[in-house]
Amino acid sequence: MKHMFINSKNTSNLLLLSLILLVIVGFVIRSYQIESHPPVDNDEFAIAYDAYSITQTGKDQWGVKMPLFFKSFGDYKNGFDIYITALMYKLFEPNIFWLRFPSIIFGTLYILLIFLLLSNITIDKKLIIIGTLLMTLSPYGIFFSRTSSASISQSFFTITSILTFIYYLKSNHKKLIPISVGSLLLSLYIYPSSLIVVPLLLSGYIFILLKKHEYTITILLVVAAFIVALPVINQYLGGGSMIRFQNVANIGMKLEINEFRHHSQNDFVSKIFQNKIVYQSFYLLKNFIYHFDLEPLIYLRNHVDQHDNGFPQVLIITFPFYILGFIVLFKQIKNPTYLIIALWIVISPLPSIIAGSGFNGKRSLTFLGSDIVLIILGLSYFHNIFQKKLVYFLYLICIIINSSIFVYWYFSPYKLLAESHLYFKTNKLYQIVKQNYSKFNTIVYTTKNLGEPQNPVLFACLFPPEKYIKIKVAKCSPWCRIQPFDKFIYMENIEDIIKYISLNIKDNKIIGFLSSDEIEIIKRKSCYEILSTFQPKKNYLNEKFYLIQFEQCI
Amino acid sequence: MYIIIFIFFAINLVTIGYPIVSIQEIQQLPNFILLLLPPNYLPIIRLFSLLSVIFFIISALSKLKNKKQLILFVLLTSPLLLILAKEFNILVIFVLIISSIWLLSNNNYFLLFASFLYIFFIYLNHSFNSIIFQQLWVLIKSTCNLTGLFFQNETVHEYIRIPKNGYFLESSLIFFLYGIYHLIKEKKSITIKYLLFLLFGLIIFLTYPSKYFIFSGIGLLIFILIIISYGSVKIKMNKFFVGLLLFVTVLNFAFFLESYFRHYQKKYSQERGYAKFQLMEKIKLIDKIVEITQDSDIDKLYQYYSYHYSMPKIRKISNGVWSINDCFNNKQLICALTEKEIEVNNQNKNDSRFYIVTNDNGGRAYFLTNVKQYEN
Repeated sequence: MKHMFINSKNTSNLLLLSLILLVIVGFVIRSYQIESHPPVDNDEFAIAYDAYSITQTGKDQWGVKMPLFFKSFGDYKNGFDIYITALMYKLFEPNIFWLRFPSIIFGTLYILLIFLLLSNITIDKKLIIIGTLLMTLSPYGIFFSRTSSASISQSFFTITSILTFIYYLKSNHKKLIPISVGSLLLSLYIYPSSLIVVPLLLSGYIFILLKKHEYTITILLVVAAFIVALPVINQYLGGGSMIRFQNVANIGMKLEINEFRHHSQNDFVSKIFQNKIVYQSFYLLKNFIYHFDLEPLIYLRNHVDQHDNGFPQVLIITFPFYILGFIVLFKQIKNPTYLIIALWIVISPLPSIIAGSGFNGKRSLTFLGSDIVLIILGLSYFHNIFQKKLVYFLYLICIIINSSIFVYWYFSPYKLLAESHLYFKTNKLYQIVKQNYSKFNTIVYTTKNLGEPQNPVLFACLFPPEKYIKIKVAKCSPWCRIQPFDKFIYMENIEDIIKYISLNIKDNKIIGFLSSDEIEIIKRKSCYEILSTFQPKKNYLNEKFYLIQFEQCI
Repeated sequence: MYIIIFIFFAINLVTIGYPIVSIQEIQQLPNFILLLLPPNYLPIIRLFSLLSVIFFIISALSKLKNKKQLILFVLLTSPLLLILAKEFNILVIFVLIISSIWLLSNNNYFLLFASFLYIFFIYLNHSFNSIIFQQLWVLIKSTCNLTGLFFQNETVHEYIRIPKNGYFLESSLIFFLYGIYHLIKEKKSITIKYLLFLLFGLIIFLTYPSKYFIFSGIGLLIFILIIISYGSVKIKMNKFFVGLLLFVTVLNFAFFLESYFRHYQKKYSQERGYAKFQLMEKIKLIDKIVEITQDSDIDKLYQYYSYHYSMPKIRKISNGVWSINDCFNNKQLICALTEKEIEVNNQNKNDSRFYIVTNDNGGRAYFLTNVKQYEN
């Protein structure tokens, strides 16, 4: 089988050596400072605690035995990543490193996948090395390999499927079809984006198989796909996962329609032009084109959040070849391999678009690697120029310099921004509970300030899951709110906290994690000692938080 | 074919007053035109824009041997040309005429001459504005933005932004991309010809002292339009796709027209200065003093109105500091307060003594004191 997976012409020692080196570099960049950067978000804490709960009890935090979909906040997360994390926790210790380790591995193996994919597209060793280097240092590849967000693993299995299908097209080896389709169907259980990606990609496979007159395999494939997808369909139609789609419904669009109808007194013409179907189609088309627009592709954006580090997807030095890649792909579209690649490029933005967002790297992460394929196709247009060693090495150096800017950005300015603005309070609370759980009897904080971060505190003190399942009181409609439990007392307003303190002040081990505004209010009514002060390093909003211990006033 | 162009001309002529003449249009007009044309007749100046657009369309068609109907269709359904035909701007007219002559003469040296002419014009009329260089990145971002140009320019560009539309129809993106692709493949001399026009557009883009992309980027916008036309000439499609594309284009265009004629002015009346015109209309012929916050946009408008009406004296107040009691008590004084100023001075916005000047969408722009009593 070996010859099928690596083109024998390309398997020179240099190529393999480069691949090994790049995989090592890729692993190092993806795992460096992984425990502290980026800050852990609420979803990751939920995955961590559910995984811990599975290792301890075989049940999730809601007491359901080995579920396929985890209720979590009421959003019913797909289970794959949680089970992989549980496996890590079973083998090693439950902490942030092992939570993110599977993503690092998937992200690193992605380099290998792209190497194999490129080996099928070009026979030029130099271009394969460039492509593999681009994947190793890919801004989005690195970014999403460093969080336990499930999208990288979903994307990994989708690309595995595409790669295997391309191998099938080249070798006509029918045993590869179940591997390809199996891998694709597995992604259904990893991340909701696959609900859109899988049927469309599968339709592409079926189209090609039918063209090759593979009728029996096609029928078997459709039946198998339906059977495997049935639990997922059931989950989304009746099992509660629909909440994800309701959550992302476009409220802004409704407001716009109302505004425009108001302009024209809601007359007949406005009913034709201003309605959900017209607007939805308009936004779908606009957001689809936006995914290939310069702004997400090559501009450094000011906006950063947990799904976006602000750095462009494509390195500026490779951008002209990215555009050229489309032309090369378009010219060879009749070739089934290129047809599958084109389908991959067209399908990957759809989950993010259908979810109503303009551009969301996490939801459309299936694109990861397609940009590199396009760049390599574009570069192959100048095949002869890159045969010259000087040009080749100069271009490699340019890529490394351009990528280094990203690595610097990611580990320096972005790190500072992320530490200061993304889940700063949640991560501080996590650290406080982790370091002091045995030292206090009660910790108080407001939900106004911190939301309801039960998962960070549960994971910080590795709260026994059996006990949590028993004592937990929740209200779900459909997002779940957990009532205060054990040592964790959280209320909407600081006034409620003050009432609680006045009733329980005899207990001399009450600590609080409060903002400076809340401290100002509490100052007049309670006595306390400040234990520590926290503030973001880049403190634009002049935020300050205090860890205090309540005392009886003399 | 010429009948269709005539219909385009006639429709534009009938609707020449829409949208309202903006403060930006007035600001660049020489005083003698303002003296000649009272506010009601001012839209007539747009006739120059309309004629230059028609000249451009005819020039684009003149050298073609086939597909004339298609190009005419593409050009007449282009939002950009309709917008330009209904907005007076000297630079826009200049670029349209230059492009037309370039298309007719096919002479690249003409562009060189036009560039010098333009630079000379800029040198005479303006000092090169350093702001343009500070905003260069923002402007580049707004140019190289397919979604902004073809789908929705509201969030990307300022001034003349049609809700839910770009400067070009979504369907013309296919022609544009094909045009670019074909130019790359094309003979060098033809590619260079178009690159020179791009260069001409870039010179204007980099030097014209306006923060509005529709003006500074006019050369680039016309370049894109020319590429769209070029792409539509070169593209080879079967009848089914031609039919489909025409159908989509007609739908697109209908969507644009609805948006432009029924919503644009209402939604963006503020940036055209609608309320300022209403304010002038309200205070003209009143023998009082009007107090208003320092606003440079008002100056030329006030000057213009004073050519045709007896206008009250205007007193400018800096930093929004008002002797608010005077506004109500001194009956010889009209204060034009903004919503923010009302809030800062702790006044009740729903006080019945205020006469409210609104934007076209009903948004409250000015709160006038002592106007209601005068009416009574």
